[in-house]
Amino acid sequence: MINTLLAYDDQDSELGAFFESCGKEVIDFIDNLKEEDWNTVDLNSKSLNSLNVELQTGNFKNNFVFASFSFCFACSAGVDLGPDLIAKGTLGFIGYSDEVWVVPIYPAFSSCAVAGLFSFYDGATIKQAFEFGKNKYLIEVDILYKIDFVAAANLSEIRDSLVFLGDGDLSIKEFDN
Amino acid sequence: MKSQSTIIIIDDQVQDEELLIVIKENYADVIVYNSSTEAIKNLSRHYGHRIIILLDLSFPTNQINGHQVLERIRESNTLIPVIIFSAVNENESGFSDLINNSAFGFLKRDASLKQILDMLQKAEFFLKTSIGGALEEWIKTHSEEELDRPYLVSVDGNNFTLKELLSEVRLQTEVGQSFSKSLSKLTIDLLARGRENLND
Repeated sequence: MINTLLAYDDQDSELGAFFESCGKEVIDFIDNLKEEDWNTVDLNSKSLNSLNVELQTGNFKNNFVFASFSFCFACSAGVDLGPDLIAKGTLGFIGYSDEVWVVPIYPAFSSCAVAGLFSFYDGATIKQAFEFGKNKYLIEVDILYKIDFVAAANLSEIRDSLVFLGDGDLSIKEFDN
Repeated sequence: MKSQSTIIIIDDQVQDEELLIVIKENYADVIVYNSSTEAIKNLSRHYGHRIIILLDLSFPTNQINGHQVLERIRESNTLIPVIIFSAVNENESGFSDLINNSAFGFLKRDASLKQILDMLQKAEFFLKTSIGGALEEWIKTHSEEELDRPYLVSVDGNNFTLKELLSEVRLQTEVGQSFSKSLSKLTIDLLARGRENLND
C-alpha cells in the first residue's frame, strides 16, 4: 500500500491556483497509474486542519511523518521544514531552499514543480527523482526563454533552489507498507 | 526623431548655450541641476526612467563635489551611465576613483559637440542593451492589459506587473537587483550550454 497525503492551500490569495494546479496534476497522475492498492488523501484549504489530518491518515500504517518521503512545492520549505521533517523521522525530502517566484500564465511552472514526484512514483530513487526534476526545469527553460526570457530566468532560479535531503537511494518500493 | 532618454546635466555653470540647444534638439527631456546637493536630493525621482547623466566635478565648497555625487549615485544605482564632463585634470588617484565608481566615460570641457553627442549615443546604446533596456524593449511588445496584470507572483503575497518589474530593475531595489542577477545567470547559462551564441 502506497499512501499519499496531498496538502495544499488552494485559497492562497496569490498562488492558490498554482497550488491547486500542482495538486490536480498529482491526483491525475496517480489516477492514471491505476494502482489498486494506492491510497490518496487530498486536503485543500477547507479540509486542511489537524483533526482532519488525524482522521484521514488514521489508517496509515505509520505516522505520516515517520518513515515517509516528503515532496514540497512551496517557497523555502527546504530551509527549515525539510531539516525538521528529517529530524522527526522523514526518510527523504525534496523541496526549495529559496523564495519561489512563479509566472502563473505558464503551465511549465506547475509541471516542473511536480516532475520529480512523478519520477519517484515511477520508481526512481529520491536522488534520481531530484535529478529528473532539475532536468525537467532545464528542458522547460530552454523552451520558455525564446518566448519569455523573464519567466525563463525565474524558472531557472527555481531549478537552482531545488534541494533533496535524507537518503537519496530510497525508492517508492521502500515505502510500500 | 528625438531620443526618449532623459539627459540630466549636473553642472554649476552650464556655460555653453549651444551645447544645451543641441542636446535639447536630440533628446526629448533635458534637466539641468546647477547645484550638486540639489541634484542628489532629486535624482532618485528620475531613476524609474531611462536616464543619462553628464556630471561636472568641480562645485563650490559648500556643495559636494563630482566624485561624491558619483559615489552617492552608485550607492543606489549601478545601471545609470554617468559621463564625467569637466575641465579638471584628474590626478591618478582621482581618475582611479572615477573608474572604481564606474564612470561611463570622460569628456573634457572643451570637447566638440560631435564628441559629446557621440558619447551620449554610446551611453544610450549601453542603456538599450543593458538588462533594463532589454526588458523595456520586450515589455513594449505587450498590450496595456498584459502590462497591468500581476505577472510575477510569490507565496509571500508579493506580486509584480511587468511595468512594476521594469521600475524595480531601474530603481535597483532588492527585487530589481535580484531579478537582474537572475537574467544575467540565465544568459550565462544559455551561453555556457551552447543554447545561444554571442553573435546571435
